[in-house]
Order: sequence, then structure tokens, then C-alpha cells
Amino acid sequence: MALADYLCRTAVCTNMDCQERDESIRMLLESLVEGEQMTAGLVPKVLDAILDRERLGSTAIGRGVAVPHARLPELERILIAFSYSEAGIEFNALDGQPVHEVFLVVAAREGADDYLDVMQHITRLVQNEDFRRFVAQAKSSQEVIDLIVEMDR
Amino acid sequence: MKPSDEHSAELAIKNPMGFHVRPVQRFAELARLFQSDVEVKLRGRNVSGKSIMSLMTLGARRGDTLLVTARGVDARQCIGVLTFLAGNRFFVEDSLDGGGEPGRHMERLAHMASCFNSKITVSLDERQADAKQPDALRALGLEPTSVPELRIEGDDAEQARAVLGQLCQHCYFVEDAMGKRKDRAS
Repeated sequence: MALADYLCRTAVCTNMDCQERDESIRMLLESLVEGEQMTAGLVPKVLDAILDRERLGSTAIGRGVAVPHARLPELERILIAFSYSEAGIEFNALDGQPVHEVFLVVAAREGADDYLDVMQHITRLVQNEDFRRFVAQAKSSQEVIDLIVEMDR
Repeated sequence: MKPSDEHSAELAIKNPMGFHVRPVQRFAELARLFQSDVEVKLRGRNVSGKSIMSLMTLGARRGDTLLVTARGVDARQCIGVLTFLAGNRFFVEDSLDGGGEPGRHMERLAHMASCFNSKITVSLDERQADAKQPDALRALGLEPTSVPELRIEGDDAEQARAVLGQLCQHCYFVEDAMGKRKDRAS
């Protein structure tokens, strides 16, 4: 499994200029729609599911990383969107720190192993300090995609 | 409590989705409340049981068994709490569809309280109950959204207060209630 297989190329944002959690998640979902990975009509439902999940505990997993996620029967496969925010987004993290890297993961209800694999790869990737440093310096979404392909091995 | 102690348990992952974000968060957040070091081993890899990110990298699936070891003054209590958590699918309620056992929050409180030496009394509306007795908690009419007062006396009172406080703060992890309390707050 490789993260790049699930990463939507149009849904990689190197400079998220929104610091508000719900709106920044909505923007990432819109970018999945732009990439024709999801229909526009599904955005409100997926957003609700993601925010419902956040109510059960923030998906900020530490070190300025969050993995908002949801699984819905309407989705056929795992989709990943990514954003980097220099200013940081308030995600109700346990450590109180703003979140700089967001990996949004939406998936079908089935496929527990693939889903777990994706989360495992994301956490391994963000524990790599080189990845964190390079992502902060990336100027284009292509640079981030190349970085993920290169480092997620 | 003993000056230093070591306790281990083999914890089977029963959740259909494996040891995913919510189980990992709840495990690490409870582990952090103890002084003991907590180590989790799977397939030859050892990680800290207090780090969400490190636990996620294990990628533990349903059917995997984690070897959890706590070392420190509160090792026994820590393993007791984490064993109960894992045995109850980390309180993840996806498959219940709102139809979970109505009194499960009181069972959770009583089991968690029983992991400690301290005498723990729950007070609600000026009535009191022994926190280790589910029947006494039922008689008290404790709801998932209730925020009772806890009186805790004993050598592990600090840890007991932290763990039980976490339970109360999160509506005893009754997930339907968690959403409601947050909605009211916002």
C-alpha cells in the first residue's frame, strides 16, 4: 500500500489560509469535488460525519497533525486530501497546539485493513522530521505529492 | 502502593476496525494519567503507550494481541484500567447504533473504580454511593451526562481521581451522550 495511491492530486494545499477547523475541512472536501473524486451533493453529509467524529474526541494526534476522517456507505474507496497551514488551525488538540498538517481521510464503510494501513502510513510519515521540514518549505502541491511518494516507502 | 512495580497484560484487539484513532486516543489518554511508564509491544516492536502517534504506527488489527507492560508505583492500577478499556472495545460504540446497554456508563465507572485501592464515594444531589458498586450507582440515578462529586481517600487517590474524572468528563464514553453534551456547550 502507498499513500500516493489514495491521495487526490487536486486536493493538496500547501498554504491553507483558513484557520477555522470546520471551514478548512469543507475547503478540503471541495477540493475532492474539484478532482472529481466526490460529488458536490455529498459534501454536507461527509462534513457532518467528520464533525460528528470530532465531537467524540479531536483527531489532532499531536505534533501539530490532525487526521479528520469519516467512513460512509456512499463512498467507494479511500480518498486522502492534505493541507499545510503555516499559521495553524485550531483543532481542539489535547496539547492545545494549533494544527499545521491535516490529512483528511474519507472512506467506504468496508475495508478495515486498508483504512488502518492508511492511518499507519500517515503517522509514520509525520514522525519523519525531514518530511515535516520539507512540507513546510514546499512551494507547490506537486512538491508535496513528490515528497509523499518519496518518503512513504 | 509499592515503591516500584511491574505488571503486564496481553490485550486482544476486538474492534472490527482494529486499533484505529479513537481506541488509540482513549488508550494513550488513560495511560498518560499514570506515573508508570507504559510500553506496548506488537510483532517485535515496542512503543510508548502514552504516545498516540507511536501507537498508531503499530497498525494493530482485529485479532492482534498487544503485550502491555507498566512499570512504576501505579503499574497494577494502570494495567487494570487499560485491560478493562481494551476488553470493552475501547468504548467505541459504532456497531451499537444507539442501542447499547442503558446502564453501561455505571458499569464502566464501577469497574474503573475497582482498579484502585482507594475508597471512592460518588455524590449526586446530596446522595452518596460506593463507586465500586454498580447497583449503588444505579440507585443514585447517575446519567451519562451527570457530573457527580467524587470523594476519594487512599494511597492511589490522585490516579483514581484523574481516571474517573476523565470518564465523567467524557460522559463515561457513552458516545451518543458525548455528542449531546458538546452540542449544549457550543
